[in-house]
Amino acid sequence: MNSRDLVRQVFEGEEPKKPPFLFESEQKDVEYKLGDIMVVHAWVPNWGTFMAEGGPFAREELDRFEWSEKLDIDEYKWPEPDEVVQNTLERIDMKKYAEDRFVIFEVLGPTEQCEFFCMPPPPISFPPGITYPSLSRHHFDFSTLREIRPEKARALYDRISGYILELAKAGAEINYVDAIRVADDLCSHVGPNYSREFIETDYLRWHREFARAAERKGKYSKLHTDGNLLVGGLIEKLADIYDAIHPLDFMPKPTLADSLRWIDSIVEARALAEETVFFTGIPIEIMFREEVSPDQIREIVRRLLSKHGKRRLVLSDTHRPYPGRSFTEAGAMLKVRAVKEEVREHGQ
Amino acid sequence: MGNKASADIGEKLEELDLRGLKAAIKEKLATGVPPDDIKKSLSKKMAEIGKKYVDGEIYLPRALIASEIFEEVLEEFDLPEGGLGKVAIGVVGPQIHEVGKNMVAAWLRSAGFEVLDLGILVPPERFIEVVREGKADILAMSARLSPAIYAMSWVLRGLEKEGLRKNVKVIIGGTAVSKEIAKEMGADSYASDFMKAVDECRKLIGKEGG
Repeated sequence: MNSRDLVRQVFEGEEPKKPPFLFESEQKDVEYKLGDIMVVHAWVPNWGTFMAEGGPFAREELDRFEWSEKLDIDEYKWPEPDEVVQNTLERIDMKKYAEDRFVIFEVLGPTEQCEFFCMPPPPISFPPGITYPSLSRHHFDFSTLREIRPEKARALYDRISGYILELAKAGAEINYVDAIRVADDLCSHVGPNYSREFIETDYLRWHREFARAAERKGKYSKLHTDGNLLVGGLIEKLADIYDAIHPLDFMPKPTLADSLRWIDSIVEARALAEETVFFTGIPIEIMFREEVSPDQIREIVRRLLSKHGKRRLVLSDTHRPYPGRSFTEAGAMLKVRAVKEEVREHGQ
Repeated sequence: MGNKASADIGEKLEELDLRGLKAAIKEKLATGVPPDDIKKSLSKKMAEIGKKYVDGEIYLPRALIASEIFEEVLEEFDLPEGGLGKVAIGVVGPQIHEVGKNMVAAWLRSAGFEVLDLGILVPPERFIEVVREGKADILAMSARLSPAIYAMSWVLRGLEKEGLRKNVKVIIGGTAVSKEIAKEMGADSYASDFMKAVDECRKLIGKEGG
């Protein structure tokens, strides 16, 4: 059985001999070598620069109220949706990895994309080539716009969601793509960063559309959203929409004890989303902390496998490594091996 | 200040009505209401807003806007600060995520702490410097990404090395850290949100329950 079939088995709810791996990385050869899944980043190229330069609706020196009043979303020269799809797709070539790997086509969701449209320029210049979102910071200006001028926020959200939907549809048309993933952060570890009203009327409405676009073409759907989805019944609502959720990042987990508590919370979450595939189990925080040993990583994986089981589970890192870090570093590689050894031993 | 006047100011803050709030404060000051009373009304409402956030009655954007309005009027009308103790707060190391830090700073000010905001991208040495200069009873370090754990530990080791550790309490927060790691690195406290940060800072200076 190749990697693609193994992952499909998990999505179909069958018990695999071992859970598949996803070690997501900016280095695609490393991702291929270490895991069963490849993630294609289908982010709109022109909009990627907002992270490094600030978005077209950055409020600059204006206070939130003046900015909300003056904001005119038609001032931006919106591209044709076809043009966006074409520009995005022509930069993607994952065929060489697609032969035996499960391929996920990732679009950036409208909530994050709206925040990036409103994001101020960074206070420092990044080194060339680094535009990783964790190095950028938005000020939740879109979330506050939604409170102050909901009609403008909704117009922006709907406009951007339209593009994302077209991209998701185009991704679902690609033969070698197995799943569509929408990356769209909704929460912090404390709970939702957006109002319940926004989540119910805008977020969930559009995410249903994205998931349907995948489903209509026989592809799986997957959501990547940070934070504590256990607050406010979010996980049940999202599990109703998506086939898979990633990374179930409910709490900070920089130590072994935190990580073990986190595993217990994942096991609890399983009862709330019985049919959903969980992509989780490998906290990126500690893959690169020297103080946490490979044996301790094994303990985390062991707890997940013994308490949760292998069904509907993809053992996945919670996030890509931080900029400048790689799984090929000696310490991280030892931990990757430890994860794999634990899975092998668990299966025996 | 009478109840009605106090309620007026509180309502404007809760409604996120910046212009209305400024007008109300201006009017109260013109009629001789002491700035301290205005600050108290604002602080009371900030505590209520914070509680609503923690209880899930309101969400981050409203709390965030309220904190910025509070900070703006505090500065514009030069309302009194302090009384409880001095907190130096900053985002440690090469990190630029500041929303959480700003909200903690606003709620600490509303609770009566004098806050020295060191900003973002704060070199670890700067935290030690403010303790050396006697500018802080509490150091509050925030981090979103886990590499900052090393910078936080560096600050704690530096304070020990210079014999300054006994002069200051250290609290950490942000998405990269936990209670467990606070203990591991030798910090005095940890807070998972801005309301807990206020409670923990009160405990650190022995004035809990305020």
